[in-house]
Amino acid sequence: MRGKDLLNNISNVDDDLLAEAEASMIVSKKRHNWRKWIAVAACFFIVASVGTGAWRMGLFDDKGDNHSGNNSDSSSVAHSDEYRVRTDAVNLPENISDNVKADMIGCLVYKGKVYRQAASYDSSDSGFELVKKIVGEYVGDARGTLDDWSSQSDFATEFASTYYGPVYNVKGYSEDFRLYILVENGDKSWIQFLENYDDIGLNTGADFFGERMHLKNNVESISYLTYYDWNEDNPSNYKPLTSVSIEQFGGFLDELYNNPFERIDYKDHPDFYEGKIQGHLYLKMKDGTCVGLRLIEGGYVGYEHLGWIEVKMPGELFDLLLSAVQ
Amino acid sequence: MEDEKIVELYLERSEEAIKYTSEKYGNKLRHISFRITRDAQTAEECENDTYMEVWKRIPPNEPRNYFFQFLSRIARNISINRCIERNRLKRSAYIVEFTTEMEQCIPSPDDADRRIENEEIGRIISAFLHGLPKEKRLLFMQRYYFLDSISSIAKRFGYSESKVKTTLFRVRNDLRQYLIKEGYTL
Repeated sequence: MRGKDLLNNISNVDDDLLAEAEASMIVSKKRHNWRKWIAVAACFFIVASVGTGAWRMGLFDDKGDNHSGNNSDSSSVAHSDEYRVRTDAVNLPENISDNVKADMIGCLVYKGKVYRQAASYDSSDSGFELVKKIVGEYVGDARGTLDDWSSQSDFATEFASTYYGPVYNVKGYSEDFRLYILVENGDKSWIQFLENYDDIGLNTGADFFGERMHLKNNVESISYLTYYDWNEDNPSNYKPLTSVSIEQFGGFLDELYNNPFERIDYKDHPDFYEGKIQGHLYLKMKDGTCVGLRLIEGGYVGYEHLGWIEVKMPGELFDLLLSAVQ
Repeated sequence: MEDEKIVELYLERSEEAIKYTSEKYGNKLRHISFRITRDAQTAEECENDTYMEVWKRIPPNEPRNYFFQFLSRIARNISINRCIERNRLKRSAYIVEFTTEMEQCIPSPDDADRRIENEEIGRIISAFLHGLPKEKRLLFMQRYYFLDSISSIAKRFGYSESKVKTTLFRVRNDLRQYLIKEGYTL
């Protein structure tokens, strides 16, 4: 036997060793993000609310072309040769002052990754009963230990969270992407999704909308908001999408999957997000969840929690959908 | 789709199994292959070859609880063999680097009295790795399973390259001593 034979046969190591090595590849990336967090002030500011805030408030400012966690420290993970874009982690706003109270959104630390508040569903949502059925396996208890005055070390604890209660993975979705917590606050309760968007490498739409969101063959119905209504926060003005056929929308999803992601940062291109023709689609999924897509003139399709990263898919089908949401 | 359901589709000989496999794991498999082949087109070819091979192996295999590990192994082997088949083994300095390092782990015939077959190697290396501290085990796997570069491993774990090289050197020696002590030759 030669060295190459030994190299080949290492494939036959036990499953648990391979699983451990794969898990470490995700956790070790987060180690570098933690170093960035330890290097900055205790207060941090995150914004992500469904349908509003994140895009307009410039949350996901890019500090450069590199992925999250990078600063002048050389201990960053170098993967830029493998992916077209990478998502950012949370960055402090540069202009926060002592008089501005830091607002926190929901977050949870799990396996060294920070899962952020994403969509929520309460009993008023039509999909609520369905969403309750996709609770997966229990993974641990959120500690409820984080608040505006939490220190850096508070974040470096597994299950540190702004929430309190049992956390579950979500059936049909990767645990690396989505978790679920039932939040109870007085006489109100709701289902809160927590999602990991930190330092994700993406090439085409399939990497996110397929691998993580599973859009194809799972859309139950579609509604839309015009840009005006979205901007003015008029949720009562959702309208069903009736001018596009199932086949046409299927073709739209095919192109969404096959086309590449691009990063278009707000700070470099503010007119892109404020001056172009655009609209919003809301996909009601068969499992009761809802996915919001932003369409921007020129063939760009974005998802709110990805920040300033869009799939570029110009063409007839995109133009059809954009026209339909005006 | 859950892994168990995807495996069921293979067992039912439904071609949708490959579609769901691709949707769920295609990106990871290309990533594994790209690391080894260092060529995007070849990585895509290896990904497609992986699906064909998985189709052949399920059944009789039924990897319901270890589906990705099953795919990962096949993708890795296909990618390494592709490098060998295309003579990249001789042209690619980085593959030569790996095989040279592996050579250091192999006891000479004089050191051992038992020959082990290919099939046993995985089990023996697993036993060795389980006995290592986690840090060393992870470095070994990153280097010799995923074929990561020293610099990439160093950045990933926040170590200096010197520390990674030194640790791997010691682990290779430990493996060699383990094989000698257990009386194996390869």
